[in-house]
Amino acid sequence: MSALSVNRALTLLLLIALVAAPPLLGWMEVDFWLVVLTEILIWGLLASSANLLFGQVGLLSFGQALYFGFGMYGVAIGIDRFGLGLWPAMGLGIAASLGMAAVAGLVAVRLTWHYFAIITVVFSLIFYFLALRLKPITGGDDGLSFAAPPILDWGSLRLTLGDDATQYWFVLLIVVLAFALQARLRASALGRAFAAVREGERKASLLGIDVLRVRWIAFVIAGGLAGLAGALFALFGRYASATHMYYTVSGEAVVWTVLGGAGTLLGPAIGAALLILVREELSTVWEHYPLIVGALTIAVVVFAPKGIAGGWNLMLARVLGR
Amino acid sequence: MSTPLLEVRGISASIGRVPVLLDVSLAVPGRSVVGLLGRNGVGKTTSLRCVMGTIAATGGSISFAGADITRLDAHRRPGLGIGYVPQGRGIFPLLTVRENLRLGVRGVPDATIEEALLNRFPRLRERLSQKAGTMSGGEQQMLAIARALMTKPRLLILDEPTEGIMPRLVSEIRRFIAEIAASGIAVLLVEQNLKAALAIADHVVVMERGRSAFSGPPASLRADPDLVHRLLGVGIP
Repeated sequence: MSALSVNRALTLLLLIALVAAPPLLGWMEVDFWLVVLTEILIWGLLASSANLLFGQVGLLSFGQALYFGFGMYGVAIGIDRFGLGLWPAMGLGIAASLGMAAVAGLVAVRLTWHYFAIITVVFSLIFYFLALRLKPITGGDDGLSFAAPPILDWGSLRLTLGDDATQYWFVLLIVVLAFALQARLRASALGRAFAAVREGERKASLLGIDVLRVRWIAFVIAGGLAGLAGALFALFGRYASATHMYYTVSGEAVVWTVLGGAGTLLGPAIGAALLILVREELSTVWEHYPLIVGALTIAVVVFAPKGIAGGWNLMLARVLGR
Repeated sequence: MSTPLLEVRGISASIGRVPVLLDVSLAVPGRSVVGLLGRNGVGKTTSLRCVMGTIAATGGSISFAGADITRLDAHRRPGLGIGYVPQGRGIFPLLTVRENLRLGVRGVPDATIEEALLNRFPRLRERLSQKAGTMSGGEQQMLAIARALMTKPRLLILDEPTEGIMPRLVSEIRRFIAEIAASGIAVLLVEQNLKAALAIADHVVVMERGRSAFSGPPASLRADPDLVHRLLGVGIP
């Protein structure tokens, strides 16, 4: 049995468990965890966007919250101001984040390492303060609240986000599709070009790879993924706010990625799940719970530098003797 | 000599503020093997990097197949038909052999790795799913050469392909290079081993302190032991 087939089987089991979560949690009479699980899926998607840049292309972004915010505001403004339905509003959110990433990427991808990290924070801060100031459009400090349109309204068939289980399955479907797209991307020629650029720019360009273009494409795709996460989060909270555009949100995505395993497909989502569960369990009993998050992250970086998923893969390779 | 496929005319280049190349000229005609020789540090690798565009030539010109490529972006040069096997191989150790090979070409189905190529490098066929970094130095060199051939180049540039390779594989790699040259691909070869270079090359360029100091057929170099000793610090092999 290969490590790949073990991981595939585990992924399938995880998927089955996730699909079955609403009735299972209901049976265990812990329904409130369904909302936490929905949130984990969304933050896992945001972490995967930071991972696409850091884990696959080698660019450490502390600015993914910017595109998350564009996704959020796209949905909120689309519904609240333009009266759009759910799907067109999501489309607007994703288009806004893709557009912003396309423009910001033109500048950012010319830089690497700390310069890249700094420019991503700078962009993020500019738009964070703009969002606070542009009250007529963004609602400023108060943010924008809206009533979510139905997911589907077709004759007698009406699905809405008002039902927690329906909302969860809706988010799960989109997040699973986004991860499937990323899995496909990793196996494609573009995914290999990402890896080549991460491993060595000069070596990559000597093979005819346009390094700046490849980085820009990754930047835009990552922006789109963050925007999709933001769009889902806006629908989840029926609310958009500049708070979620702040660079600390981007920082959390990086921490989830590093903890879960940068460069692996599911690692960032695992990191997000773990730290959100820690937050849910500890924040009510100890206000300084981020200290535990910090200690956990340091422990993982020191003892398992490839993160939880990377450590798991190493262990699996050892156990299977290859 | 026919019109050169690659023509480097009087190029100069610096690394940082240090001038490394002062005046380098060389020409590689189609279907020929040109050996680029010289002591360590005379600018052989820098000359190749100028040809590949990863170091900018500050003077002179470089043309390939009649087109001026002096200012062309590095990533556009392989597409013209220039394959490059850099010193230290330039493979991606964390990617598999298959992924490394596939990086060399785009626009063909993923499963396509030419049978002819794998027949030429049977060791690679056995290791397609292996991480490239786990192979021996010689196997990595074969991978680097095979990857450069994936693009079907008209010119293959090799920078010290037998450096740091176990002796058992050195002759195998030299045989590959001879086969590649015999198949009609022009070769520009930097080689420390003078005997091996003189055996394979149709034409030899010897560099000295950033300049091309000698250019001619191997026989002319062999005929002048004093020159060989002055430029290369060795006797005629």
